[in-house]
Amino acid sequence: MKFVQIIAAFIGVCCYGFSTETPRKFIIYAGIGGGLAWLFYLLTLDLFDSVVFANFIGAFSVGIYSHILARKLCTPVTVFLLGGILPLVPGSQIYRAVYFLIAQQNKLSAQNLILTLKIAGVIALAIFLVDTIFIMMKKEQNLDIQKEEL
Amino acid sequence: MKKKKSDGYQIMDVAVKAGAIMLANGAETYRVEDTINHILKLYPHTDSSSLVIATGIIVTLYEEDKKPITVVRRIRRRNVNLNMIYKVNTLSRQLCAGVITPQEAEQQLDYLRFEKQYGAGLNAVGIIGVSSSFTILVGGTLLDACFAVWIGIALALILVAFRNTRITNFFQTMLAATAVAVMARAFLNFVPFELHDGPMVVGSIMPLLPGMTFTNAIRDILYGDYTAGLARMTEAVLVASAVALGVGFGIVLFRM
Repeated sequence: MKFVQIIAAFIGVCCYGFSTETPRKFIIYAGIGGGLAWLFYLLTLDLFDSVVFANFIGAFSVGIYSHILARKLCTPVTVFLLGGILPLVPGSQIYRAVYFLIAQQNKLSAQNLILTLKIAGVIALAIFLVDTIFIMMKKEQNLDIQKEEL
Repeated sequence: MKKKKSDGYQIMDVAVKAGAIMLANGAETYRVEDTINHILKLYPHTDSSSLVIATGIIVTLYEEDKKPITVVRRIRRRNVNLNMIYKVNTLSRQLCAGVITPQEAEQQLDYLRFEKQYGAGLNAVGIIGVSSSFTILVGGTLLDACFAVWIGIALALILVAFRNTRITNFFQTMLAATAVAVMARAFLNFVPFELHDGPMVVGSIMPLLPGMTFTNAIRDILYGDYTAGLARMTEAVLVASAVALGVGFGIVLFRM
């Protein structure tokens, strides 16, 4: 079942590439990013049993993957990052929050709303972290170049 | 002297065009500013600066006789087109490396506006594929995915139908989400198989959720563009609320 889910993430992100006009030669890479995000999500969920932490690790791994590929292929990071984090977007939590709100189960609704915010925040944190790591690496490279020029 | 003057205008033109295309197709604000500044550096010995916010571009370039040229470009329609961002990015790299001249770059930018990689049909296939495969991803069965294909078709049709109307983005998203919820509920009640409406709805609203806006907002804030970041964060929250509202409306509608 988990294997099927990872394949579904791969196909889903590839298809998302068609609707966001991802350049043709990068669609497969974007799909692999989506599969990778879900793979790490499932692994972490098994190990630590925390949805929020699993989302963090998923977003973190796909962030690193996207940055490395972007460097290698001279592309904006967004091309891979956008599709890659799609499986982690807290759609089911938003749905449950609304569903329980209408079913007048306010407590469950609030729980799901908070979980939505947590997941969104954690994905943001992961992207922050990966970006910062790569900015630091870039700065070092620039310093090297400046030294050579001096 | 006269030749130099026209050079300034030309480089300005290329820079603003490149920036406008990137911003209109969903690039991060800092990337747009970066691209514009890189292109402006082709005009030597001057001071230039650019200010990009989520809805527009302001660029000033000083000519050699200290006369400023300023261009303001308002961006009204925004959508997601990664191919455009990639193409303009590559173009600006080539331009700055001296592989192509500003004239060639301008021609290519003009031509780029009409380029469409996949066409409406394949875009729709993309939305249908996202709906059905994400239904499986969030725990639906294969049967759920088969019915999610129909929801995806409806969703794609709705989005295409709304594309050229004046309905605001908020209501487009809301109505599309309503349709998704109504269809999922209808399948649940009228189809004699064992279906799950939760995964079907969640899978099908995935293409509507503001993933791009959210990621861009985060990255803009990280790079210190608080104005653009906050604007985009507001947009992301608004779109997500529209989806939630639409789904809720759909469920209520089916109850009556």
